[in-house]
Amino acid sequence: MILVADIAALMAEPAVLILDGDMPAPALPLPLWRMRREGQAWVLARNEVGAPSPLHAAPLGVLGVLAADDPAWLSLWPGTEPPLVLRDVASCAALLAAQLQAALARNGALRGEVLALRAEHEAARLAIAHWQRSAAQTAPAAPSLLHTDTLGPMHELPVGRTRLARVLPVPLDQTCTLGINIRAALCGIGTSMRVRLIGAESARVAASWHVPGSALLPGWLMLDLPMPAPIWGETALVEVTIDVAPGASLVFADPAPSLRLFRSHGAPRFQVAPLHDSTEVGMGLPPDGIACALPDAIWRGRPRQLLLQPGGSGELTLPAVPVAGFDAVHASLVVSGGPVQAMLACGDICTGWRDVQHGELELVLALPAQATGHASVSVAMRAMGASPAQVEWRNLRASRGAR
Amino acid sequence: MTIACVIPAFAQPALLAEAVQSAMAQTLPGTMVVIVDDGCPMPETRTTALECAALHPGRVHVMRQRNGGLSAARNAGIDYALCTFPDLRAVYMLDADNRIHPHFLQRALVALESSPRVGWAYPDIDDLGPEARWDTGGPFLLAPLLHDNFCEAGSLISRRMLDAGLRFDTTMRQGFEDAEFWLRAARHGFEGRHIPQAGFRYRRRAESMLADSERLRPVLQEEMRRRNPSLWQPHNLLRLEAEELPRHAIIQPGATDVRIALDPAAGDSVSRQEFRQLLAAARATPDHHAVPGIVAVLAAGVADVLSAHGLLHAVFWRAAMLLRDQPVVALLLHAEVPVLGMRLAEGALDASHGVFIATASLLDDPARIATLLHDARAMRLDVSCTGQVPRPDDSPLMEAAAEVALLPAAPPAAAWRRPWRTPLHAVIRQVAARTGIGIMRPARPGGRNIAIVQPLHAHGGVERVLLQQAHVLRSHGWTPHLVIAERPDMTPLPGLHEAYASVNFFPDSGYESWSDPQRRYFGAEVSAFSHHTPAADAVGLLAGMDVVLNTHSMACHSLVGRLRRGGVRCLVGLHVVERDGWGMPVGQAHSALAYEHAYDGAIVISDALARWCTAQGWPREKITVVRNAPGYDTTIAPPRRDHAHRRLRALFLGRLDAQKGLERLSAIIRDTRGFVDWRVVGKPVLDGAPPDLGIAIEPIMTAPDALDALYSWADVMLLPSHFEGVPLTILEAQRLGCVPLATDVGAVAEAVSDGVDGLLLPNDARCEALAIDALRRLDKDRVALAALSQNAVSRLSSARWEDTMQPMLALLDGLMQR
Repeated sequence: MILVADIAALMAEPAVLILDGDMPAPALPLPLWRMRREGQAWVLARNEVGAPSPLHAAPLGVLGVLAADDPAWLSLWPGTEPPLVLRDVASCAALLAAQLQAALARNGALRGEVLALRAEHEAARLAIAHWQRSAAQTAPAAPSLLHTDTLGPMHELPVGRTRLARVLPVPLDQTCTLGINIRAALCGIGTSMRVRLIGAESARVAASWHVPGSALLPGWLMLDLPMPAPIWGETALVEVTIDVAPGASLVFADPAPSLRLFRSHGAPRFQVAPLHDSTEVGMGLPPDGIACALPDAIWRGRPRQLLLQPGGSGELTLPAVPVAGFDAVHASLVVSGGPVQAMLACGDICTGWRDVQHGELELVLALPAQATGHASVSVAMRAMGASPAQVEWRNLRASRGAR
Repeated sequence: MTIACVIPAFAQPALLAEAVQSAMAQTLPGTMVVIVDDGCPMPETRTTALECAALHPGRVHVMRQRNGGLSAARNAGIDYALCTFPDLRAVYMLDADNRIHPHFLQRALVALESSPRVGWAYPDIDDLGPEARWDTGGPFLLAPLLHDNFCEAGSLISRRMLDAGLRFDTTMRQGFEDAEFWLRAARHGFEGRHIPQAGFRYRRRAESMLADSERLRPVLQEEMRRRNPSLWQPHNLLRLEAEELPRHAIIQPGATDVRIALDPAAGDSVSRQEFRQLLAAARATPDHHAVPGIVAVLAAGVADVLSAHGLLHAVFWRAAMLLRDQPVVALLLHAEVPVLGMRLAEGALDASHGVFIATASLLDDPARIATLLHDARAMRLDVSCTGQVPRPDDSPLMEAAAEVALLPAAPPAAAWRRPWRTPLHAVIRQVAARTGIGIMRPARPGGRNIAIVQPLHAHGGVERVLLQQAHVLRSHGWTPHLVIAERPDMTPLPGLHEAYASVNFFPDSGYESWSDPQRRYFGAEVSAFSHHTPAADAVGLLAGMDVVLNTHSMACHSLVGRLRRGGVRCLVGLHVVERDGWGMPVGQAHSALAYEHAYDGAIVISDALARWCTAQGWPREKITVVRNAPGYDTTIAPPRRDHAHRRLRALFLGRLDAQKGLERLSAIIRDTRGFVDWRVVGKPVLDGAPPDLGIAIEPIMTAPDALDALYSWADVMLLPSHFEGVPLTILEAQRLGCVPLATDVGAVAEAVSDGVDGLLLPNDARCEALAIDALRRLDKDRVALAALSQNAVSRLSSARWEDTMQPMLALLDGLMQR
C-alpha cells in the first residue's frame, strides 16, 4: 500500500517529481516528493505534514519518479499507468524540455484558437451592428404589459437606506420599460433611488437607473431601457435602493400595483434613456452580507503607509476603486506609535474623524445609492500625540446589503 | 467550510475548463474542485486539468483512475473529498460540460441546510445550447420522483447523506444513474429541496449520453424499478397517494369545508376558501400544487348510504375510470331494489345524488365544465341499493356549478419556465400505468385485507361457503372484500354486510367468456382477459389487497401473475371438478392448472379434491383443505321427528340445472309420488323456464328460519347430481336430522357415510332405480330412518366454520409473514 502525507497538496499540484528512497534532490524548480519505506507501507511525503492517507487514485500532476532502478512500489501505484521512471537528472531535464516544447506548442495552438474565436466574434459583432442599424429603420410594435406587481406592503419610507427586491414570475428577456408607481414624494437633493433589473440566477445587471430626488414625483415613473433586455433566459428580479434624506418623504403605491414590466415585440425598440446607467449592464452583483476583497490592482503603485510627525497630517488615496453594486467600503488600518485620528472618504462623503490610540481600526463608510463604476477612496490621518505615529492601510473591502 | 465540486472528466476536454472556471467563480468561500479523469484516452483532458490546477493553486485537485464510468468517477471524487477535507459540508456534482452561475453554491447550501431531512438540493434546468428553461420547483414529493426525475445530477449533496454510505450505482452505465440515486436516498429517509433561481446551465446537445439514455428510457426505467422494487409496489403507491397526492376533494352542499382524501371514508378537511385557492393556484402551476384529481360533490347522506351498502369505494373507483374519458359524471342511487349493482346510463344532473368532475378538465377549461353543468346532462353511474336512499335533487349540481363559477376567469400567471414535472393530480395514475396497473381502488393499505373474487353472487352454495368464510376471517382480524367479476350486480345474502367490508365489481361484465382458444391447457379454457385494457383496471381494483382469493373467476386467473409481482398473495379456491356432456374437462379446477405456478396456494373443500390437485401436478404443500360446514347459522335445535304415522317426506333443494340431475329427479318423483310427499325448492341459474317435474316448484329460500323449517319438514333430501363438490345442503340437512340421499360424486362421500348418516347412490344408470328402492325401504323401515337421522345430527354437531377454517387461517398468517 502507498500512503501519502498531505494528499490534498499532492492532488492539487500541477507538476511534481517523486524521488525514490535516498535519491539526491536535483536542483530543479519543481515540488519534490520523496517515497520511503516505513514498516509495511510506502509513504510519499514532501514536508512530513499530516497523517498519511491511502492513495486510491493516481495524482495527475506526477511528471515522473527519479530512481536508480525500477522502484519496488511501482506495482502498487493505482490505475493502469505507473509514473515514468527517470534514471538521472539529465533525464529529468530532457523530460522538462519535452514538456516545455509541448506547452509552447499547445500555447501556440490555443493562441490560434483565440484568434479564430476573435475573428468570429468580430464578424458576429459586425453582423449584429448591421442588424441593429437596419432594424432601427423599422418602427417597433408597441410594447405590451408583461407583468404587474407590487414592491410590497409599506408605509412611508424611513430616512436612510431602504432596499426592496422582488423576484417576478417572468423572464427578463426583451423587457423594454420598467414602471414604478409613486403615491407621494417630497424629495430633493440628498434623496436618490437606484433601480436595477437583474437576472436572478446569475445576479447580473440587465439594466440600471439612477433617479435623483428631483425626478421622484407622484405618479408612474417610467424607466426605459436603451434597448430591450438581453436574451439571458433568467428570472426578472427588480431591486430598488432608496436613500431618503432627512426631511424628505417617499411612498410607493400600495396596495395598488406599484410595479409594471413592459416587453418589446417585433423590431427592437431603441430609446434615449437619460436615467439609465449603462456602466452597470452585465455587471455581476456581489453576494449580500459578505465583505468582499477588492482586486489587488487598486493598490498598484499606491503607498500603503504613512509616518505622521507630532501635529502632522496626511492622506492615502486609492483613485480607482470599483464601487458599483456595493453599499459600503471597509478600511482596515493599523496604527503604531502615538494616537491618531483617521477619516475614510469617498467623493463628498466621509465617516468623520475616528480616534485610535494604538492597534487596529476599521472604518466603514456607506456608499450612496448613485455610486457607480469606480470612485476615489481615501483615508485622511492626523497625529494627536506628542510622538510620531505610523499608520498602515492594511486592507480595503466592500460589502453589499446586511453586514 | 468546504464544498467540493466533483467533475468527472471523460472525452470533453474543451468544455472542462468552462466547468472548472464556473466552479472557481463561486461566491461561496471554500469551494474546491476535484477533477476525476476517468481513464480518458485524450491527453488533452490531462493537460486541461493540470492547467486548471496551475491557474487555481491549492483549489483544484486532479486525479486519474481506470475507466469505470460516470458513477465510478463521481464516487471516487466523493470518497476523496470525504477523506481529504475534514470540514466538508457538501459535495456538488458538476458534469464537465455544464456550468453554474456565481451564486449557485451559496443558494444551494441555503436550501440544503434548511431542514435536517434535506439530503440534496436540486436546481431548475436552464439549457445551454437550446433556449429551453425548465421549472423543477414545487414541493419535494416522492411520488412525482417515481415518474419524472426532476432532480438533476447537478445537485448539491449533504455530507450526512454521503456519510450514510449512499453512492452512485456503478453498474448503471447507460444513464439514469442519478434518478436511481435519488430514489435510493429517498428510501433511506432523505428528501430533496428545490433551489429557487439557482443558475444551473445544462448543456443539451442533439447527440449525447442523455440522448442515448432517452432511447433506452423504457429499459432503464425498468432497471430502476428492479433496483427499488418496494417504491413501485401498489401498496406503496397507494400510501404515497394518501399522504402526498390525495385523489379526492369531497364537497357536501352547504358544508363549509372540503374533505381531501384518497379514501372517501377518511381524510382531512380544509376550508372552502383554502380549496378554492389551491384550485386557482393549480390552474397556473399544476406541477407545484397538489390539487386532487377528482372533485366529488355528494348530497347529504349519500356517502353514508353507500357505506352502509359497502359500495362507497366501488363507486369512487368506477367514477375515476369514467372520468378518464368524461369530464363530468353524475351519480344516481335507486332505492329498495333486490340487487346491489352499478350500471352506466346517460341522464340528467338536476336530479342526482352526486356529481364527479375531472380536475384536469376543470383546470384546463372551466368554461366548458360550466357549460356541461348548465346543460345538466352527463354520463351517469346508477347504483342500485337494497335499502332506502335520499331523494335526488339538484343540490349537487348547483353546488358544483357554484364552485366552478368561483374559479377566476383568467388563470394566474404561470411560472415562466416550462414545467418539467407532470401535473401532480395525474402522477400516481401515470406511475401505476407504467407498471401495468390501471385505476387503483381508493383505499389506503393497512390492516389485513383479503379480496374474495367470485364471478357472480346469487344464492348458490359457493357464495354461501365464501360468506361463512368471510365471517370467520373478519372475526380473526381480516377485512374481507367481495369482488364480483362477471356481473354488474349481485343478490346479497343475509349477513353479507357483516362479513364483507365492501362490495366491488370488475370494470365491466362479460370478461369470464374471454377465452384464448390458442392457448388451452390440455383442453381446459385459458383466459384472454389480461390482453385487454380493462384488465389493468381490474388489477388496480385488487392491487391494494394483501391477499386475493379467486373462487371460480376465469378472468381473475389472468391477473394473478401481475398481482403477485405487485406483492399481493394469491390463492385459488376450488370446489368441484367438472366435465361437460362430452366428457371434456371444464371449469376452474382444470383451468387453474394452467395458472398453478402464479398462485401461492389452493384452498380445496375436500380430501378428494386435494388428491385430484396433487395428482394433476399441484405441489402438495400448496394445497390446503378447508371443509365445508353448514351454509347458515341454524335458529333451532334438531327437531323431534315423529314420522311413524305419516307419509314419507322428501325434499329437493338447489339450482334447477343439468348438473343437479333433473332428469333423474323427475323420474324419481314420478315413481314415488304414491307414497312420498315431495317438495322441490329452487330456480334455474340463468332465469330460464323451470323444468316440468310434475309438481309445483317453490321459490328459492335464503332466510335461516325458512331453511330450518324446510329441513325440519323433510325426512329425506334427495341430491341426484352428476357432479358436486361438498354440497352445503347435505350438511344443513344432516344438522337437523334430514337424511341425505345423494349420488357419490365429488366429495359427497366425505360428507355422508353410506348407511350411517345418509345413503349414497351410484352416479350411473342405476341411480334412479336405487333411489326409488331406497325411498321404499325408508318408508317401510322408520326405525332405520330414525337411526340415520340421529347419526346425521351427531355427525354435524361439531361441524363449525371456526374449526374448519383453521388451516386457512394458518396459511394466511404464514403468507403475511413472508
